[in-house]
Amino acid sequence: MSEPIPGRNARLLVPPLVRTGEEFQVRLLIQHPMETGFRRDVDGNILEVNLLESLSLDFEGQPVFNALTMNALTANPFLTFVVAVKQSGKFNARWRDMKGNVGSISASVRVVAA
Amino acid sequence: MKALAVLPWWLPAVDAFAQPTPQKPLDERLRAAKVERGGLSLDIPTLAETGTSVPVVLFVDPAKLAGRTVARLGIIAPQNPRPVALELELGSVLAQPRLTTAIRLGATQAVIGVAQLSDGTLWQHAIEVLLTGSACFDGT
Repeated sequence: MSEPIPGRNARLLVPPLVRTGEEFQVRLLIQHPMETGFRRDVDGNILEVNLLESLSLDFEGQPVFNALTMNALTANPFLTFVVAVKQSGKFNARWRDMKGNVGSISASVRVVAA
Repeated sequence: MKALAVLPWWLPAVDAFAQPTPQKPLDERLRAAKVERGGLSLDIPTLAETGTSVPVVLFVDPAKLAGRTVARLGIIAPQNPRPVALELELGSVLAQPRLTTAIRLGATQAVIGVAQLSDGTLWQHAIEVLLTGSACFDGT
């Protein structure tokens, strides 16, 4: 059985349909061990540090957030933000960890007149 | 200005927390930064059962913004092996300067939430979190 690639499995949750200017939640969950480098395995060997190095979320090129440091995010980081958009489009999240694994996920939202 | 750029933006807020009565800043270069309380709220359990996942909500009172925007949000956990827990730049798509997530804590400590506004003002809110189990089991 092959190991799943860390950070490849993620969810980006947005409501499918919103009104113009309506505030809604964007929820981002990334399956990633966020290994701190302070833990040891059963043989006493230090587990190599592997945290997310960069993580950003944008909507059609406009930034929602850009993480500069994520030292203490839990394993499988989960972040929620409240956003508002004026037109239909796609949210796009991308990330990279210390081992060079990259991932991305996108989710579309349709905006209807208020 | 070059020298100022290398100092982390949240440092004055941590400094202000360490010295409740206003004293000389740790660094002369930080004197210009204004640190205020009241605009930012850090919502974190005061008793956490395990440090491996402590839920946090960091939010700003929009009424106190007075036309300014929130440029950055940060969470500092001074007793963690890596004290800077989380640092985010916020973008224009956000409707509310509000962040919900979960962090790891290594020890019982005061967790400090910091917000940097567009005019450079820092808002700070610290909460003492009592931890019954650490996220670090290795003696760090």
